[in-house]
Formats: sequence, C-alpha cells, structure tokens
Amino acid sequence: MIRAAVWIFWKDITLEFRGRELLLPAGVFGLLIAMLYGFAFDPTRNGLHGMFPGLLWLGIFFASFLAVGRAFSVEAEASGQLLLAPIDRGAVFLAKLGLNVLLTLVLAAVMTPAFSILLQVSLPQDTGGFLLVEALGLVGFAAAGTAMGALSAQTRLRELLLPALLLPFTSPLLLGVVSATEGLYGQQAASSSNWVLLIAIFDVIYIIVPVLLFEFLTEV
Amino acid sequence: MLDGRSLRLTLGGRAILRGVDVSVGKGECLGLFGPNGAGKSTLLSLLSLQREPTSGRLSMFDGPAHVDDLALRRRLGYLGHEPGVFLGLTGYENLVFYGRLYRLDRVGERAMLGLSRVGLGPFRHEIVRNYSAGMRQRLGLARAILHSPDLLLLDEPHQSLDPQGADLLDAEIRAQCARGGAVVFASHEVSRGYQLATRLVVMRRGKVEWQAEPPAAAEDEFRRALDGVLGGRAE
Repeated sequence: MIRAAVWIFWKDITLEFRGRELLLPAGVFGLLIAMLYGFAFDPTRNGLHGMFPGLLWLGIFFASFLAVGRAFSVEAEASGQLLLAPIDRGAVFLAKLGLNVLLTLVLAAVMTPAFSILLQVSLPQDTGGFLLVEALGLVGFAAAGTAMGALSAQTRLRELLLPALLLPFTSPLLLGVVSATEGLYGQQAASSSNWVLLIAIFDVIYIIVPVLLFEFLTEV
Repeated sequence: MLDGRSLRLTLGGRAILRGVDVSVGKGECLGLFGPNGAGKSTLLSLLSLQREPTSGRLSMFDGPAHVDDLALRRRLGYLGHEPGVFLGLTGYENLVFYGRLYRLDRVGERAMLGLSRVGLGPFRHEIVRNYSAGMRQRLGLARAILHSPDLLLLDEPHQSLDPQGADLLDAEIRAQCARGGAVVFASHEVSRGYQLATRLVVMRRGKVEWQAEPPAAAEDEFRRALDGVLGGRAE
C-alpha cells in the first residue's frame, strides 16, 4: 500500500509543480485574507492580541480549504482510472493526505508570518510548541479534508457538500488549535497540552478511519 | 473467461440493465452494439469491476468477480470514453505511473515499447495536454494494454481516431485475441465492428435483443437487427 501511495503522491506533486492549480489560488487567497484583516482590524487596538489565534487559524483553514477540497479533482481528468488499478484504495487516501499535508504546511508557512506582520502580533515565544500545534492542526485538517473530499468528489453538489461536511466536522479541531495557541500565549489557565492531546486524537481518528473505509467513501 | 448471468443494475430507481446474459471465452472478441442508452457502457462498467450488479451472477476466470478483487483487476484492461490519462504528465510518465501501480518489471522499457506500438514514440516526452484527441486516445490504448491484460474492455474505442489509428487499434484487438486473451468492446462503428467481432450482441433498453456469430450471421442480417433497435439508422 505504501509503495502505491508513494507513486500516486509523486504523480500529484509533479502535476502540482507543473500546473500550480492548488497552491497558487489558495496561497493568494490566504494572503488576501491577511491583508483584509490588516485593513479591518486596527493593530493598535486593545484585545486584538487575544483574537489573533482565532483569526490566524480561521484564515489558514479557509485558505487550506481551497487546496484540500480540490485534491481529487485531478482524478476526474483521468476519468477515475486510478480507482481501477489493482491497488488498495487506502493508498489513494494516504497519497492525497500526503499532498494535502504538504500544501497546508506551505500555506501556513506563508500565512503565519504574514498575519503576524500585518496584525502586528508577535508569535508565541514557545516556538517548538507553536510549531507542534500548527503541524498537528494542519495534519488533522488535511486528513478530514481528504476524507470529505473523497466523499464529495463523486457528487454533483460537491461545491456545496464539501464545506457543509468539512467545516462542521473540523469545528472540534478548530476549537483545539485556537485554544492550544491561546494557551501558548499564556491567555488561558488551562494548559495547552490538553488541547494538543485532543488535536492528536482527532488526527489519529481522521487518518485511521478513512484508510479503513476509503473503498466505501469512493463508492458512495 | 467471463460469464455473466441475469445481470441487473438499478440506479436511482431506474433499471439500467434488465437481466443481461453475457459470456466470453479465450480468443473471443465480443462486440456490443445498440443505440445510446442501451446499456453498453453500463455493462462494461460492471465487467471492468467499477460497480457491482444489483442482482445476477458475474464470474471471471472461473471465480466470482467482485469490485474489491485486486488480483482480478490486474488481469483486466479498460479504455472508456476518455483515455484515462493525466494531461499534466508526459506520455512516457503516464505509462510509467500506471506500470508502477500494476507492479510491472522493466517499466521504463515497457512504457517506451507501448508508446512505439501506438505510434507515439516521437512524442513520448511531450506533455499530454499538447496531444490531439486522437493521440490521447492512442495513449489511452497503450495504457490499457500496458500490463498485457487477459481481458480487454473497450468502450467506443474508435472515437477520435484517424483511419490509421483505428487500423492500429483493430490490429491490437486482433493480436489480443490471437494470443488467447479476450476483448469486449462497445461501438457505433457498424462495419468495422462486424469485421472485428467474433460474436455480435445488439442491445436495447438494458437487454440483449439479438446475438449471433459471424460469418454465420451475414452482415446484412446484423444490420437488419441493428436497424430494428435504431429505427433504420444503422450506418
């Protein structure tokens, strides 16, 4: 399964490197969100510091949504031929998950400093903790997005179905990453480690369950 | 090699296939004909293990056939309405990619050979987006036969091909049957299909209306059967 996943991942990365159909629009959208937040919120205003984790994560989620939701669209170009190959369909999920994790990491690497600069809020001093929260949060969002993307890819109403599924299902993750980031700023009494644990559990569930059920997800 | 009995498929409450019997032996080439909506493509989607029938029994290579049977998938080659290739990859990269999914050895060599067989050797390093529709169809054929499948399933394979490409496709179909494989194809090319098929099946509204084996069935008899379902519009 792993070997097939690596080849599918290689194919997707090659296509994305040549076409830039996923990362470029999502990246531009993410930077536009950062700019609009910069215009909309006065950086000198009291309380903006406390809103920063929520603004940052909502921005990253919305921008990532554009990339993650379209990871399966490339398969329509080849008429779903990939699903006729003699490979475990879990390999397709793992490959798409790898692509989506990479895309969201690149997006976050661009958007996080942009948000910090435009809203004039410094990042948490615990850089290691912040990177851990970002990595776990993005893996969780990518995993949920990959599963929901597969589920909605076959439907005519996918543009409606994907946000209707993905955004509610990732709300516990959003709560977790925002709270964990607030914890890193020392704004909440509760330690961020509990939230990190919640995010990790979310990640494990959204990786393991789709691998097992991917055959079903692609046939719905 | 392939045996389907009373195959039925209902989608969204509508019966698409209504009890189709189909069988193909080694070296046989079964041609499916009929008007749009007759169920030819749907039948091919069942035979290529894209979906399970609602009812009926499908067996292949002396065993039951199910969509999750990976060993069975390895023995099938399928070319649908679209060539099933990635436009952002080169022709060579497409074949290497599929070859790796089928775990072929000497995959680069096979890919080069496959491209040469369909006349795309000189264009192997061009991005497929720059190929014409006919070239993409040729690449789709090369993809479908790359792993030397025992059963080749082709849905309107002549579309987009120029006469030279269509002759090349016919030669590949004959070669597949000559080496003991089998082919099932759906086509609207009546004369060409008659020449190719060792058994002719005419479908209408999800059922088999007529079937015969040439040359026992003369071409005019086949055309009359086809006229019957097309309303006198066979080419």
